[in-house]
Amino acid sequence: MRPLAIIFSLLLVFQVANAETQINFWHAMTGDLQSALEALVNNFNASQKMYKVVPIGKGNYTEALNAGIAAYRGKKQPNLIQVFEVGTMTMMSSGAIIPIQDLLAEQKVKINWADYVQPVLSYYEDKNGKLMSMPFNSSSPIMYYNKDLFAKAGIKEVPKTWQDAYKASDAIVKSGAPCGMVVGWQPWILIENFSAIHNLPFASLENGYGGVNAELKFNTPAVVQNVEKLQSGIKNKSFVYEGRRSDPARNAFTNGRCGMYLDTSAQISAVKAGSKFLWGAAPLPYNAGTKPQNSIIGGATLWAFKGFTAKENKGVAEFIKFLGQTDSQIAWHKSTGYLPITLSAYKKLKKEGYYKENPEQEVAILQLTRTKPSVLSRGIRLGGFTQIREIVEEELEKVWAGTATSKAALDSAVERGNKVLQNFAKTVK
Amino acid sequence: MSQILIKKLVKKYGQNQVVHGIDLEIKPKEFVVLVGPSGCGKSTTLRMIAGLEEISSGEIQIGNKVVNNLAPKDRNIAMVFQNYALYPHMSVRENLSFALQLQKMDRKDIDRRVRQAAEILGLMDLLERRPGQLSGGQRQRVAMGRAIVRNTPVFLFDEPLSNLDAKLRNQMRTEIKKLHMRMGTTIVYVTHDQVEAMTLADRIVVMKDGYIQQIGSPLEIYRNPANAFVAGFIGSPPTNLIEISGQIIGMRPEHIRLEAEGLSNPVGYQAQVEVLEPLGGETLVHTLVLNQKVIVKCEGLAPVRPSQVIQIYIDKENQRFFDKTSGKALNYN
Amino acid sequence: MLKRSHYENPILPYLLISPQMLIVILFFLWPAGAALLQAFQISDPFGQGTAFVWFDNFKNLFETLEYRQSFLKTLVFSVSTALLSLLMGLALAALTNRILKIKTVTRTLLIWPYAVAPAMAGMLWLFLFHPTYGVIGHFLVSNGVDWNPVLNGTHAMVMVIIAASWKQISYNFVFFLGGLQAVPRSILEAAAIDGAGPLRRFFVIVLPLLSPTIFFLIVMNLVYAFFDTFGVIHATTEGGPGGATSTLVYKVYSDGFVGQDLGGSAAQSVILMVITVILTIVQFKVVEKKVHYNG
Repeated sequence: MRPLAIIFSLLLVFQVANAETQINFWHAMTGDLQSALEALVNNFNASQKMYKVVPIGKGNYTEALNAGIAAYRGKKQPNLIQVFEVGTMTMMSSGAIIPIQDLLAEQKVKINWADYVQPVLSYYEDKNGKLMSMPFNSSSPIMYYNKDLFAKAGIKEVPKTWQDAYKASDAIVKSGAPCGMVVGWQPWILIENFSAIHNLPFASLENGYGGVNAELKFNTPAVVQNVEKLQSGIKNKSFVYEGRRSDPARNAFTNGRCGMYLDTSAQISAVKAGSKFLWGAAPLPYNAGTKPQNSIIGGATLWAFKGFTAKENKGVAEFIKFLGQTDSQIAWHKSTGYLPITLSAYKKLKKEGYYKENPEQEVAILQLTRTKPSVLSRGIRLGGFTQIREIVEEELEKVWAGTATSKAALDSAVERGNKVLQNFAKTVK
Repeated sequence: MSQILIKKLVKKYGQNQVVHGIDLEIKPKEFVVLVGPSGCGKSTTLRMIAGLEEISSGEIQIGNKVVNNLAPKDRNIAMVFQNYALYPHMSVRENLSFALQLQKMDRKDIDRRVRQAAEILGLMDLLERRPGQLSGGQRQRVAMGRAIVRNTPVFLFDEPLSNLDAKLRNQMRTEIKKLHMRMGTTIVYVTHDQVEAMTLADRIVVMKDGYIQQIGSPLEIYRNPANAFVAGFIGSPPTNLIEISGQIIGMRPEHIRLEAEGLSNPVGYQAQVEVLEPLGGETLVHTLVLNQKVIVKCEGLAPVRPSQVIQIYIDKENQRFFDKTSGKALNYN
Repeated sequence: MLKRSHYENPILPYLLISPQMLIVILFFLWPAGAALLQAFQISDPFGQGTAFVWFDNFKNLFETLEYRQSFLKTLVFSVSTALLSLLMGLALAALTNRILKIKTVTRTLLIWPYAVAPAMAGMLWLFLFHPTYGVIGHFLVSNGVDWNPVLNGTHAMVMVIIAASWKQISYNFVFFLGGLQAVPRSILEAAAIDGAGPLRRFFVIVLPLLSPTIFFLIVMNLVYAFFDTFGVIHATTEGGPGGATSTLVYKVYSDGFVGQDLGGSAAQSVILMVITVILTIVQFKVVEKKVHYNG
């Protein structure tokens, strides 16, 4: 027993000497994004001696959220978890988290909120304007276009409106390319952002911000019409469907097949790395004759779980503050394509002439801030939103496959989605 | 006219030749037994007749037709296998009628033939049973029945009795003999048991190492073995083979006596008794002659005891002489 | 007569089976019970607000067109997968059985796909079937087939069936080869002499003799297709396009883990549980009745 006791006491000494408070941080970043995130965390750890943030990758967004839920139920939750925007309502009403604004106030860590880009913050505030989670990686959809294919098709001006985009798409196919336009994250871009930009409701009760009894409303004529128009493009390949999320659509663009590619601005670095042609980025198209609202954001925020000591929460607060610093924001933005979410970071970049050299990086910021967010372009706050997105994916796939009309599919999506909402409302007391 | 004619038949597995160009002619209605120790090529020869093994070279004719390239079903033969090879998922009736159904024979005719065969073999009460519900002897009968219903001119038997116990084997042996007499079919029968060969055969073909050693009626082979191997293989107990002054002398145990009386031309040897095996009606006396084993079969109880030195006698004409190197009989005619 | 062992210590037998029982309780009964309870509740993912709703979850399911369609899709998928993998396994085994000494390397290669992780198998076939850069997909497209599993539900189903059965062929192959090698050669020779050609021998003699193996494999393959193909579907189509390949087991996942609808997902798994129980009962009943040929 004696040697063992000695070893134990040695270990104890070692631990005390190494007594940084450990902050566990579960995230869903992979590949280049994971490296960028780890670099950021390393900077924080190097900047002070009190806390040590440990980043742990938990797969994709869905998997990370599930891991968090399972961990919380098993009382093994991390301090911080990265959750995508559609999980916001789930997290908010979970009772498992401390609103980030409360946590910062408790720990007396001050953050200058006025410096933050408002549409980003507003997506994650509750009814009373309290910030629930800390925006981490935020993006907005933009339009990537292949300059070579545009030139070949004789397109002089980058399309601003959908009507121009349809025409450009036809011209691209006519010039011999196998694909006019491809879209990633289609529920987010073709339904959620399309609605926001045209100031159309996605759901009642201010897109759900007004309470859990909201109903889906996104089968508006304009949305239906656009989807219908795209469906008609399937035949001559002026519109092509490649699969869910980003990768299949982006591949179709970067290997030079598609003229236009609508997807998150977070794909900028991947497009840059993957394409061997000249390309540009522009705002999402809007319907001719309308005045476009701001687009809405996508991405993820950091949530603080309950159940930790004040000391640990203080570490969380310090880390969050660190993330908002101008240098952190600039590094993150440059390495990933996610938006800088503070005005000072944006201004500094602009002053440095970064956007002159990298105009594509500014497109999403300008689009996001071009108007003051309306109640319909502020964001969407729904329970069971992941399931609703799945339903929308499914129904849109039926449209592209030609087994349902745009109207029928979107009506069905609304009906099915409403069931999900009703179920969710029952679980919230 | 011959039923089966085999010319220079050779079987090779790769480089390994197991049957070395044998010739054999089998007459209609003849019962021919191929006998020899395991590995002598007898089964292989039978399987080449059946068409289950390819012929490496040589020729086989059945009913004056060269069958080398004919499928088994076109050779007009029936075969009984050592392990019966009954179809386990079919009833006895289905087993018996399978071949006939394949011939598209009329239902009535099938029934008639199956009934006939079943009566001959005493299977009438077992027709609806499956092979799994039958005893070994019953399965053997079904296997034979399957051959009988086909009514082919040639039956091939591949060690059909070796899976049965001794008593059943004797019984079935008699039945096969009766069957042959009744059906008048040409039978080629393979066995390693010389008793079966002696009792069943019209003619025996003794084989060893892929060569035919001797062909002849059981008595011919018993009386005039062509070589020391045949002499030693046929008979029970086998012929004593001892070497004396550069010659091998063969003496059947039943020909040796303990006294010279009653022998017309006796030859005597000094022998030392080792063991006695009294069998009731007769006694086997195991002795050593010039340090070589010699078994003597005497009637009743032998008046000798172990380690006693005695004289044994044999008629001169009952002795057989074989060449020491080739093993060939010297007085063979 | 059943044999009964007698132990000096009456507790000993129970002690001896307790580890196994513990595993059964911990890993089977408890989760199954939890699923059963959850099937009658709706709750938020974090389990903070839970309401008992009796059969609402089941009612919701059967009122949903997608769920009812999923039954049909599962049937098409499972039967096709089982059939394809059984036929391929049998064909390969029959061909291999003709070669007397199959090389160990060859046999190992034939068994290999079984060891491939379902997700990997899925990725492999997804890649092969991709209309632009997949070998098979490209071949189809260049031969005038408008092949597009991302868009066309039937194409997606075909792809998933092939990917799922590919993995199972090895399993069937091993059992079929064993079964074929257990068929005594003399029986086939007897049939050949009786006048049956190779095809008839196969169908009239070999297949009936293989029937216990075939039945066992049918059940195993159906169980595989029903419950074990989640990984393949997840990696290839994610149940799409438009839910065309969303089988029952995939819906359990997508509704429960993606959609966070735990009650509905639990209700679905209870339904799957019932199906498994039925399949198991059928198997035991039929196996009991099955004649043991060489008794």
